[in-house]
Amino acid sequence: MDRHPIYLVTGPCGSGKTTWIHQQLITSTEPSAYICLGADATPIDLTYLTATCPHVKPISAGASWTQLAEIQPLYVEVAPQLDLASLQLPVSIESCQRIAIVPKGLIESEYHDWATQTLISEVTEKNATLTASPRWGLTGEVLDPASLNVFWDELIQGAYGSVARAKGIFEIVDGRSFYFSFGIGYPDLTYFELPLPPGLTGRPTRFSGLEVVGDKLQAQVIMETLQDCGLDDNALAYYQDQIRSQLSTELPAEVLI
Amino acid sequence: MKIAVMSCIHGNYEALNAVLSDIDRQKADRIFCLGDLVGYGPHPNAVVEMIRSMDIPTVQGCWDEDIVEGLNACECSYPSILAEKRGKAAHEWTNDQIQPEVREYLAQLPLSLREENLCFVHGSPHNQHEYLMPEINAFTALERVMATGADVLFCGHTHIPYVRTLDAGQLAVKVQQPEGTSTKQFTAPLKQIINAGSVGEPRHGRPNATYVIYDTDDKLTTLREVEYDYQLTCQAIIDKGLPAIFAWRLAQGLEYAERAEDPTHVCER
Repeated sequence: MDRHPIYLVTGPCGSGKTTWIHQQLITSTEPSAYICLGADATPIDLTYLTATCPHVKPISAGASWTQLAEIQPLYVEVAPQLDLASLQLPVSIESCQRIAIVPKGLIESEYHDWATQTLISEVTEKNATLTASPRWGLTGEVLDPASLNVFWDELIQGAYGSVARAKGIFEIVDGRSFYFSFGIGYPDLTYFELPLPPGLTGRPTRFSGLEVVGDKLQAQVIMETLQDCGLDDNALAYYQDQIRSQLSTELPAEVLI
Repeated sequence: MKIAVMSCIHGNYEALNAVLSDIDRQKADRIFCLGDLVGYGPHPNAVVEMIRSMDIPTVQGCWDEDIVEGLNACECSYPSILAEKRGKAAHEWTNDQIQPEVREYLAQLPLSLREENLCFVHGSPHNQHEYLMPEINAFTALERVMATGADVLFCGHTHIPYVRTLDAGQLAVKVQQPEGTSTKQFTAPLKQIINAGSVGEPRHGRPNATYVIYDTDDKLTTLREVEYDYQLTCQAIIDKGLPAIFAWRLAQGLEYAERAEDPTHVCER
């Protein structure tokens, strides 16, 4: 595919927009920029992309179109809740590539009409009708890994409602940050560690959170279960102290000096 | 003689009824129960009453012990914070529901039973909380059976039924002392560990109850899997105010709580 300086990417919930953008970004090391139009205060995709592709510059939601056009290549993810028909593009970026990522089986849609290029993802058409995608901000929460595994298995197996897509960034007690991903039709990617510096001093201030696309989701129960997976202040302080002590004894002498 | 061995009923009265009916159809001569009559499930009193009324020889399980003595096991009982919160919620509910005579019955249960060359325990001969997993190393497995003096050790607790035959029944122990090394060898006849699975809280991926039939004459074991209307138990879990996730996990054939990370860990109270 020819490279365009600006890509507007849209599609239904869980169709694979961020996955496609990540595939483009990871094949290049040139400075790039990313913004999600319509994103709320749970920037899971932004955190995931900037952590795994350090050459990507995050753009703040308040940036003007003129500012956006200055950084290229630029990937603009358009959240499905935005009305594409009323999306006003300035002249400066009208020549951008409009890409729709649509589930297989979806023949006609507003995404097809809007896009200059339509890409078919592996997710099923049924998922395209799902619009509920509650999000939970978890910044400051540190989770017990064993509990997180249980919660995640229950979540994707339908204990809290039918789940078509789920992704989250979670902080665990040893200071690492993990990206969890699940989607019907997606490869069997379960989770991996984000290349971020470990946080072992109190509660982390960097973003963590969860987004789920599904049907009949029990949002309150999901939140309560996540809270049940978290460490209280005393436990967190105890474990962080243990891990710091362990790390200091493992470091070579010249490093300790 | 045909004996039926069941374990880990966990207050699931519907499952117990189905298993007892199946045992009847199998024409078992005797029934033994390996404990954990209560905990997590919605009918702890009814389950105990049924076991008592049938005069089924029963050993004390870890949950039975916790209800009698209070929740003071070490952290091994809970492999995660989430499991701990759920387990404590279940314990609190069960503790509130249990009737005095049921508690008294659970308190007087023995830790093991012996019937000729057969031994019956909940977890292991050493502790109700110890898991004898099917993949446990042969030395440990053989030691656990030999510690009882029996040839066949029946256990539960893991909630997954299995039969493990220990046909290399020889232990060699080397003792190193300043004056030299001495070696002692023990030879044992064929030994077996038979896990009865779980009646009320299976963990084999289906909600069906499991137990075993053992024929003492031909030494044959039959693992039985019994279908029952588990949705009745799921509904009772919700109706009685137990955590709804227990109903979902039961329907999936998952345990209410996960097993400890270290299956050979022995609880230190």
